[in-house]
Amino acid sequence: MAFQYPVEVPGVGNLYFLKAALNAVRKHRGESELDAMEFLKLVREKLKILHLDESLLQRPVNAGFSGGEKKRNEIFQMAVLEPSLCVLDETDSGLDIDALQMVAEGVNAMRSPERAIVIVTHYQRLLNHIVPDVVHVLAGGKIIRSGDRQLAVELEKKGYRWIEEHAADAARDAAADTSPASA
Amino acid sequence: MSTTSPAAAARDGFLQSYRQLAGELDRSAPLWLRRMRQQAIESFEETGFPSPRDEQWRQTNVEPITTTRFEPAGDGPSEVGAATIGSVPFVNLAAPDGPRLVFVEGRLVRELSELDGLPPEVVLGSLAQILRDHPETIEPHLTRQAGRSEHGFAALNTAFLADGAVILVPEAVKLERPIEIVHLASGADQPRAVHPRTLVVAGAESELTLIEIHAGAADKTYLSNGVTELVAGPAARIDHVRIQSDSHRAYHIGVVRAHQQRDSTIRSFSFNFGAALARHDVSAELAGEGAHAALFGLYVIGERQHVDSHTVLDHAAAHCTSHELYRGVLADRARSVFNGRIVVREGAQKTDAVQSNANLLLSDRALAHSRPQLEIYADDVRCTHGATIGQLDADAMFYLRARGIGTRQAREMLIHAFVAAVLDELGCEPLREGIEAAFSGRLADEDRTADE
Repeated sequence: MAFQYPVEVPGVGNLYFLKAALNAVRKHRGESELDAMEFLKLVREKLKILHLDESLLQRPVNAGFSGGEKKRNEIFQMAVLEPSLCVLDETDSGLDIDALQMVAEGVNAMRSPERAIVIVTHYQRLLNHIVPDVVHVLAGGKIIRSGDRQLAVELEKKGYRWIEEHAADAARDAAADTSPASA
Repeated sequence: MSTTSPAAAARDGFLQSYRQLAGELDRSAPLWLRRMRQQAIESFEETGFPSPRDEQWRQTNVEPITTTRFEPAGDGPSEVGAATIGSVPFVNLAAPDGPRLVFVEGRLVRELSELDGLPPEVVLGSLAQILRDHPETIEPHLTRQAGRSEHGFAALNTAFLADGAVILVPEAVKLERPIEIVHLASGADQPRAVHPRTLVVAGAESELTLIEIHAGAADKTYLSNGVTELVAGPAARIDHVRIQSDSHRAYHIGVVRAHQQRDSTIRSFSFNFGAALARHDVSAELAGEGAHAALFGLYVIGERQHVDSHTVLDHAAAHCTSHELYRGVLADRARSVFNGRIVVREGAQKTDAVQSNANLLLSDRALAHSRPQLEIYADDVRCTHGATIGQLDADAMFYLRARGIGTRQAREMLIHAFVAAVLDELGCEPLREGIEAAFSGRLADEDRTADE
């Protein structure tokens, strides 16, 4: 779960936090815990993939980070922890174009058949960089329309009103079809 | 007809002990000390023990102390051996090879102490011996800083003053190795009262670090009633670390009083982990221009423990700075009191004083009092203070748990982060690790009791 507003945890070092998290996850998976050297090696690899500076490790978790840094830190954690299901909640909000590109690269690098990634967003912009397999449109807590990436493009052009009206029509039709009094 | 209150009866008990011991105590004491002792016992007789009606004792009721009958500490054979001293928490961490003074029931035990390793011009030793051999070297300082104007407990300490630690560092001598002073209660079955005493005089431009450790046998009831006096000469520097890890059935009263001359720096650390009831008064008088005092405190308590920290920063001269940071972690039904007084006297212009107290409550039944008290009689000063009492940050907990970290470990991480603000200032890694390990174990214990 990558947070829209990652929480600042002053006093807890990023490296220490990540090691605790990774070892907790590994333990759960029945894998052995990593020692300090193995862990550092892994972390450095991931930093490289995401073009992140090593100084990030020594700072307290998200404390005093800029909005973009926080989001990148979320993706970095994702890269280290390698969850099988990732939920990215409005990861694109508050990001400039460069940061957006970096976040997208990080996510793309993690795509694999063994992993599901759910991206929650209001804008199609992020989807130019991370091309989705499936697009669901959510309104009022329900999926009202599903499709491929073209759906997002169309939605961007026509707006949410369009799809809501469209969905309302469809719902009415469906209700009419099943109603016994429709004759 | 009059019925005697427990406090009055307790006072009479101590007066009686004093009368029995005074002859022996005075035999080897110089006249000035005998006078001071006499004044102290008179003052104690008059004021007795503090009561909740005293403004400075409103939240701390000493009734558990006044309803316990304490015998005076004897000079009987010490039951503490070299094996025991090795197992006392925090000992040996900062100064593995000494120098170290070990006191059992207030008396120096030479076999357990390590007096070597200091430059020859430095005096490190037993107060009893210095009073016999060179009383004139300490006369200007002993009991000048504390013991007369304080509460009844401090007066008692001076009245029963017989032994203690003395450190005299001459001008410009900079001690690299910390000095460790260990005060142990011997663990007698009958409750005893011990009055540990420490005097440190740092000459101009000298430097030293002092680690003072108070401990006793677990599960024993005793009263440890200590006084520490610190005198920092011009541009001297004293780091004073005081660790209280007394038995959870013991009562601990501690007074630290510092007197600072121009451009001197004192950094005081007060760690309170033990005792059923602990009261700790730390005060620094910034008497010379350009002096700096930093008071750091940390209490980590649980069960029904009660820790009261009273501090006074007395800005008596201009251009002085003070920095105060106290943090507390309270589990179960623990209670804490923080009262931080800052006095800026007339003419103490350009004073810069910063105070902060933060408390973390781990249980609904824990209770923290926090009270800043500013008295400012100069007009060109900066004084800030802040106090917080709260629980573990739920958002941070959720965040850590969302990353797979278990509840217990997440809690521990946040608690360590909370106290890091104080421990980061310590600058002695082995000691810091020892302290962190001590309360990690402690909080794990609290968790276990919570689960039961």
